[in-house]
Amino acid sequence: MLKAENLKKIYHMGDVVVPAVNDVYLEVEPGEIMCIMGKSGSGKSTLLHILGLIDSPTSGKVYFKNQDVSKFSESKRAKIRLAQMGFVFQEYALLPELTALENVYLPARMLGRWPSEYEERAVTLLESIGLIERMHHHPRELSGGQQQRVAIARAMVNKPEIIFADEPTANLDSTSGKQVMQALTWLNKQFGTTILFVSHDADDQKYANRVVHLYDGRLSESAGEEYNA
Amino acid sequence: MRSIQVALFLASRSIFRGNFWIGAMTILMMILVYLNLLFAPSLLQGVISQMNSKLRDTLVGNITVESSTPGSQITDSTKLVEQIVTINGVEAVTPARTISGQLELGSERGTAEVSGIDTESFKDVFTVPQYMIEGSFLSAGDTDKIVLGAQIAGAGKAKLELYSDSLKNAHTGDKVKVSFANGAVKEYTVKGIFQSEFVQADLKTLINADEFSQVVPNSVNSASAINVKLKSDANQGNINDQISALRSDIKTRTWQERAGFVKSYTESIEVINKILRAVALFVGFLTIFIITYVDVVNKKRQIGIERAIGISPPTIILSYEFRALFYTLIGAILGAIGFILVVVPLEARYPFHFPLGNVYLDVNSNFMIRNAIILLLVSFASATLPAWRAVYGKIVDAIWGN
Repeated sequence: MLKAENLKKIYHMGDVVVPAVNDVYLEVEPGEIMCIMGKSGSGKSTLLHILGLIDSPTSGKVYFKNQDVSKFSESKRAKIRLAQMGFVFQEYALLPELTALENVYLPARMLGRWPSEYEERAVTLLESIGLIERMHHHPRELSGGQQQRVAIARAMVNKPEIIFADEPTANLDSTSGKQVMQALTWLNKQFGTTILFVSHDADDQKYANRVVHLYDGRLSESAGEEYNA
Repeated sequence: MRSIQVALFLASRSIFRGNFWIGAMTILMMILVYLNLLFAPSLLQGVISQMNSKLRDTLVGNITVESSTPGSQITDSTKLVEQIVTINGVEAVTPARTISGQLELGSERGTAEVSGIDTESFKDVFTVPQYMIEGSFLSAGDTDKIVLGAQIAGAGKAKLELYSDSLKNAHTGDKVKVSFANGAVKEYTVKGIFQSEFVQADLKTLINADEFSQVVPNSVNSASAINVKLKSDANQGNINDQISALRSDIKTRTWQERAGFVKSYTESIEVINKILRAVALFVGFLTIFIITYVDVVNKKRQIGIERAIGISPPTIILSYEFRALFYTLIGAILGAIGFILVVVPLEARYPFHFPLGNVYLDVNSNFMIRNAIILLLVSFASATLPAWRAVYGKIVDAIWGN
């Protein structure tokens, strides 16, 4: 479904060259839950952003459904993100002026679905994550865990094939974090949605079918042993 | 279409659920910008209108008929006046004979054009009799009476523009000696003094036509000029053509053609008007630009998230443009209401006094609508620039707030 070949992302900080992602090869199979583990600054969020088409690699290729999407124009990438991908960010990235329900159905509106269709789907999703009674509340009226679950519902509203989650439990207490991870795994089981998430919390590994580790931008299938480059 | 719907959705939520005071202050700014766009230009337009109406109402009428031969008089003017009066759209016609003369009051002297007028028809064409500051206007049977404009009488008003060339202290009842250009000399009693506050009109010296024929004996049934006043809905060009066609020995000129001496003023005022409007529009541009700029800087992360979840950049830009249009439209509507209900009546009650008299705001719905549309276009453009800049940056930078 998703493949990265020889990915590199290099930042220049003055005269210093910082390779955030370095020669990464990765393949994500349909329906799997993959976790990218790594310490803070290891480049895992950068890798996730590149794979999710919200950032571009310095070199290398990203294939999505066998199509090289790394050189696509921003407008084409936006269409793929809208229709086939879902995103969950850390720090509850909801739009503050929209209610929970509006936040959830916004991508569906953008996709051109009928109001009856997108509203019904948004309500169903909110119901399935236990937030139906909070759907008319604004993000500021929701707890961190609730906001993150709304973000998951939003990521799901267009029935994406893959969801990218960037440290979805980072700012949550353990109970809320558990609820969020359970919501993601439930989606995977219920709809077969592929989940790719990054985390620095070793506890999150248990939700994944496969775990890869990132050290200084380099990837390893098992912690600290073999690097793929 | 989908983009427009989503942009409208985002804009409406941002307007009605965003910070109330920021929205209110933005609208207040737009009200002030719109008032600024209307006030000075309509005041200056009022000056131009006042200048033009003073020119028409005190000096030349709508159309002036003269002999086609320079320096000659219109002969058989009585018949010509009768013919002009019958033209549809003509409200009043008055003939006048003019000769230059020197006026003396004690040791003071002044030079003026002395006009012999038909007092009744003169009142129908010109508003001069409404501006008497002393005494009264001429009547048909007046003999040995003269009416002076304030600029030639002086009337003790040292602040008058041409006071130093006037008789300085002529008042009603004074005896003024007039030496005409044809050598005739006669003494008149000042019956009244008028001050229309239009300098050229206030240089006039008037006696009635019978008096005039005594000092210029061959002036009966002839005129130096015939001034024509038209009804408000009359077609000036068409009537001008009809008058010209009456006789081959006359020529006609509209008040616009005779406005040469005020044209330089009006042209200068129009230039000032354009500059003020440009400045007001620039202020409007900057206001929306700054507000949008601050807004997008504060919402950088939000914009990054919108883009990440697939909201296209043109949709996001459009949402900011709609926001700007909304604030401007509300500002323009409230500004227009305030202008019509408060500013215009207030200015009418306490008008600005210019050298040519009280000036009132000259504004009409076309002018207001045109300015509102221009302001809307300007605000649309000014919202586009910062939004465009914010939206086409890197998504990751926006999400991290860089």
